[in-house]
Amino acid sequence: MYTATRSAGFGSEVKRRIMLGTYALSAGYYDAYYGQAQRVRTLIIRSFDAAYAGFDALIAPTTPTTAFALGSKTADPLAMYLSDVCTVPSSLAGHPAMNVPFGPGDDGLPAGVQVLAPARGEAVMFRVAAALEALAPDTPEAGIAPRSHTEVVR
Amino acid sequence: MSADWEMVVGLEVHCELATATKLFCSCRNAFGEEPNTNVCPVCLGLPGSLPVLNAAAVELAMRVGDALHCEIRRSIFHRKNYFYPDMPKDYQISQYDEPINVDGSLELAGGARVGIERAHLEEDTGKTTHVGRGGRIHEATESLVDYNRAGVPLLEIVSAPDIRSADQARAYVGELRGILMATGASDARMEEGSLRVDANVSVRPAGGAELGTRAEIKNMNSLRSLGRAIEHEAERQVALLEAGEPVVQETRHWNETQGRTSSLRSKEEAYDYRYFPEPDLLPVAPDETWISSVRAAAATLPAERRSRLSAAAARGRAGGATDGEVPAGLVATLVELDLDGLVLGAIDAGADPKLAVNRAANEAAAHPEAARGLDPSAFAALLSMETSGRLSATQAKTVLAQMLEEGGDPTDIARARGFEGLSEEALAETVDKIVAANPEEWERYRAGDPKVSQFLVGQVMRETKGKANGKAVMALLAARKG
Ligand SMILES: [Zn+2]
Repeated sequence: MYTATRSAGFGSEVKRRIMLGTYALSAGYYDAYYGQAQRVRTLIIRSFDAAYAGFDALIAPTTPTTAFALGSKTADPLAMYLSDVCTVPSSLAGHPAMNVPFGPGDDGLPAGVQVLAPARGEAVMFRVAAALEALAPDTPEAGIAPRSHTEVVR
Repeated sequence: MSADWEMVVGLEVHCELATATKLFCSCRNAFGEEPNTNVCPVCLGLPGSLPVLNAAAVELAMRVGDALHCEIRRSIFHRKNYFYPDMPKDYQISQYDEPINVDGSLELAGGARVGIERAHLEEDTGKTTHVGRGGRIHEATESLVDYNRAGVPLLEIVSAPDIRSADQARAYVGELRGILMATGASDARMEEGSLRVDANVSVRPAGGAELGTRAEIKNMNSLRSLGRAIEHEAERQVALLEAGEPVVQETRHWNETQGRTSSLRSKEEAYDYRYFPEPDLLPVAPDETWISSVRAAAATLPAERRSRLSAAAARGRAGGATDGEVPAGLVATLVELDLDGLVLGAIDAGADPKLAVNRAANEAAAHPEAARGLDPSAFAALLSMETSGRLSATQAKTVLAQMLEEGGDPTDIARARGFEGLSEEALAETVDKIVAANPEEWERYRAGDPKVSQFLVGQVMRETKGKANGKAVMALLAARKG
């Protein structure tokens, strides 16, 4: 039953991540992958702490590129993981972060700016995000937006 | 086991904590209810549910940790991954490398000290029942799962490999049960499964310093089977080593009816649990205030109750009828049955200490429930009737039996049964009469002939129609002899 339901119910990306996670936690690889990742995570937290010593919040691009076409990177999981590279650090640190849509890029496709704040810094994060939103250029939605969001989700 | 070898045993005891609800949800923690009625999305491991830690379970774990002289400290929950139908989440939430209690010890009644490596919190699994021939999974035609037990809080208490005999193993578990009950942490019933014991057993040449290869033994469901399993396993390992064969590190299953262990899974087949920190739970860091409040409210432990009772018994009244050492075994039994309060109360009310211990441990202990309800002063009154000779030992036991069964005042019961027909004065008069009537025998008695005392006592008995107390008659004769 496990095999039948999981094989049919999980998509390929979920299966890939289960395999990666299981491998990284297995005896013999635990220290090399999971243990090492934990240590890197500590370094990331320290690096953020150093930055927040001088600033209340940080802003940065949310993604390395503007939106790419649906399905265009499915064949190359590594390239797809790389489009998360800007948001992963604060997730690893356990810090709050939010995206503010911030006008089209040079190619006319949507882009975003993220607001990063230290642990328990949600109040500052929301204030900065509100200020950014007020400054954001109008995004021409016509032509690129799907007819409805639910349609894409489905 | 031959004297050339010694066994080295460490025990892992799992006990169900007596909380009202489960460890991470508000389902009732109850034994013996309709299967799968005390369940919810959290303990069934349904997607999207989140665990919330039960503070009462943490408090009980801390009480046990304190009683075992452990350091109580900040702890972290991990996910222990494995697939088995009794584990609906496919992982068990357990404390791994940072348990709440570490580095304690437990002193056994005989004085031996067993180290406690850790005592950590985790959740229990569901209960599987294999329907079919032998009740084991590979013989079953169907398996039934009851998740009422899934998520019930457990404390796993891991001893150091300090145990050297089956007797010590039993004593350790017995002492631990006493502590678990005294702290209110668990009802610790092995037969009902609220206390489960696994044993790590190895052997080595007597006096050796290195540890041998160990086997973990599971499925012992009583103290007796724990002792048998350990002894059998040690013998098995010695036989292997003496035949020049190695002991394999593995988990073995104890079969109570066959009286032997069999291999369950080898080291190679051991699970890879792939522990990682439970992301849905924060570390548990009891602060000093909480820890000291637990310490301040600590229950009196069995060891202390035993020494209190021994001391009270040893203080024995000067010239009491039964002065002398009170056996440690009886003291331990009384504390175990929660009858030490009765005896201490009776001693306070003037009862002879040793007689109080004996009557409580031998007669009253047969009905512990009723005995706990006995009024200590009534018990003391009964004992005094016996020591003063107004009741014989047999009569006193009969009166006590009735007190346990129906309650009541010992004097009334004795009178109703016609036991109290003879006052001390009347007895003394009868003894005088018998001495006067048998001058020849009396002279021989005074000269130290032991056989004739039986005759004199018999005469008194006949004269009093059996109502006299033999010991009291002997005492009166001895007093007259001067
Ligand atoms: Zn539940």
